[in-house]
Amino acid sequence: MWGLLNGLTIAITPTNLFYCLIGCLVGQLVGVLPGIGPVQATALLIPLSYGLEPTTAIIMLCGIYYGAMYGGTITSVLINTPGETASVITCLDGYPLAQQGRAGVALKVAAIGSFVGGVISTLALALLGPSVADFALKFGPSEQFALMVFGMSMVIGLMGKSFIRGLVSLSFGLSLALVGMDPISGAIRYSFGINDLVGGIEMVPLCMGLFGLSELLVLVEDLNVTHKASALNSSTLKKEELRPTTMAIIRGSFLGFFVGLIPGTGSAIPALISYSMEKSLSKHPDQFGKGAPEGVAGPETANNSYVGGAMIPLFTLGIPCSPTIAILMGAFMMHGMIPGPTLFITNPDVIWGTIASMFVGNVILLILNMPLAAAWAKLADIPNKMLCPAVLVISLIGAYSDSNSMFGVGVMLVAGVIGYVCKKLDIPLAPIILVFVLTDKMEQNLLQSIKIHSGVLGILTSPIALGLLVGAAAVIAGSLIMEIKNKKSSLLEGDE
Amino acid sequence: MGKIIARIKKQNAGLLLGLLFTLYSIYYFIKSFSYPYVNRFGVGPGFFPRWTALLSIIAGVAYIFSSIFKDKDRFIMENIFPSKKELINVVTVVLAILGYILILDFTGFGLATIMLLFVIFIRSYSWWKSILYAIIVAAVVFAIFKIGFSVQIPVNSFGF
Repeated sequence: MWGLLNGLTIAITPTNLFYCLIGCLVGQLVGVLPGIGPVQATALLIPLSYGLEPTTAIIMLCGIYYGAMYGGTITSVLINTPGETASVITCLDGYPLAQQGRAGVALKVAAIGSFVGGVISTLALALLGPSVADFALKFGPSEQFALMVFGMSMVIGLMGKSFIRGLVSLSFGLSLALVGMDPISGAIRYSFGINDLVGGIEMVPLCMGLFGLSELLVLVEDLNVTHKASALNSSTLKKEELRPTTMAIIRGSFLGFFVGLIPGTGSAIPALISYSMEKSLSKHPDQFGKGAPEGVAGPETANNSYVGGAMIPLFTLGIPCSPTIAILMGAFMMHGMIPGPTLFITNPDVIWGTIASMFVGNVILLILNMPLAAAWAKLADIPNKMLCPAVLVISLIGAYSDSNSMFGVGVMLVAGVIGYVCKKLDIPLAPIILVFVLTDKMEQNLLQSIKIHSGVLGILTSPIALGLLVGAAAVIAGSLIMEIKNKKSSLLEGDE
Repeated sequence: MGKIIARIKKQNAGLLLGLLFTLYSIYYFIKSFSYPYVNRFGVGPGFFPRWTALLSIIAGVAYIFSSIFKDKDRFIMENIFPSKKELINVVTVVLAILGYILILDFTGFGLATIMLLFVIFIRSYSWWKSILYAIIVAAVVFAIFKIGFSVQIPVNSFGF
């Protein structure tokens, strides 16, 4: 707890507080724009952090992440347009509430639920993080390798509608990650004589292309699209709605946090589970889909609480659970820090400052959202013909300033076109980036364990590694069976 | 020409992508042989690419089969890609970015961005509105990133 208190002193310094506020504001601003969710917002706005101190930069990016999530909720409720996959579930009851003139209720329970979920999961992160990091320090190369294989199996097992399409995406991510210097011998691979590829493909333009530009290309298809937000009117819960909504928030908080601990899940999964759980526990399940407040409260809470849980694998194991977390991981590396078990020792100020800033960020967003939801919703009225060019310029600056060369813009363009085609063919983009981030470390760990054990099979002598590899095999087998039976859920797809 | 386009529209996009991806993976696999499989450190830089490229080939072949035999993986071009007008919007943006890449180093951020924005705005607004909006958006973004956040932005000798 001392770490958290120390972190609070860092998070509430005027500079950090200011940039946390900026992050929340900008994140919410971008998140409210239809079609742009947390992953696009974080990827597009990474350049804003270039000139900042590492702690301040990460605090601001986390603010952008939360802000974009809150923003996505507003568009889901008021214009039935989710900014991210997790908010698809919010639309189910949020939009019917808005049509009944109760948009204020939906936004209020979503804001309170997100706040409670965010605070509970941040507290759990502060409590559990250091212990998990201590445990992770015992992991050798074999265990690390097995953990990454397990993470990757979860990514293709849980994300997307089809296992095969997930595998294609994963393989593509692997091939991109192999460009550049081999982590052990330093040999240059797949650079095709291009100097800019010697250090490998830069992550920021790749993310901006895959998630930002590809979405933009989808949006520009119809430049004349405009959205009309519903009016807020009533924002008071009925007496009989109070208890189920409160219970949904409490259940969602814990559910989201624990799902966040599992690599490869994404925030759509806890939101989906929460919705199903609330529906099955409800005395009036027939009201779900027609405007049940607990149908908004549970998923929104779970989706925000997920963030705190997902930070644990990142901070303690260096494993990102979702594309947005992968982008945050990239930001850590850009500022000279390697996420993993030693981060609590080498950069405690950054870690605890970031964790504490999550409390602060949630408070800021609650203040920003409760009275100002209607004002935020007005932003969604911006037509695509104005929105797309502006966002495009921001992404071009981001891709350029990552390496101060036009090569980054070229990478973004190519990645954007690939992302656009993938979206059309329903190929999930998340595995590409998650695998891209992990491959370097995975190869390094694999080669080291082969050397230590004098062969590949030696990895299996570690019980932890063996357990994780068996787990990975089970996930893959399960996904394959579901694929054959055509039972993969369509709600588990998406970027986030 | 019309017949060719009509024929393309009827093609199975999943199958085409599967073929393309498999070829890409085969190239990766062949290229992996140019890196040593073992070296003095133990396993060499060719070890990991060879196995991952093999996995890619398997994924590509599986995708080809599923796009032929499974309905949910069969995507016909005309059903998934937009119609002519929408596609022109997409191609305009892609080409505008390409042009931006080519001219930015000569013109600096300001001019290149105004030109890029004009090309996109002109599809929806009158020419004078397009110029006005392009200048305003470029100036606001420049002010936020360059002045507000000290982000490196390429400028010309006039400082924009």
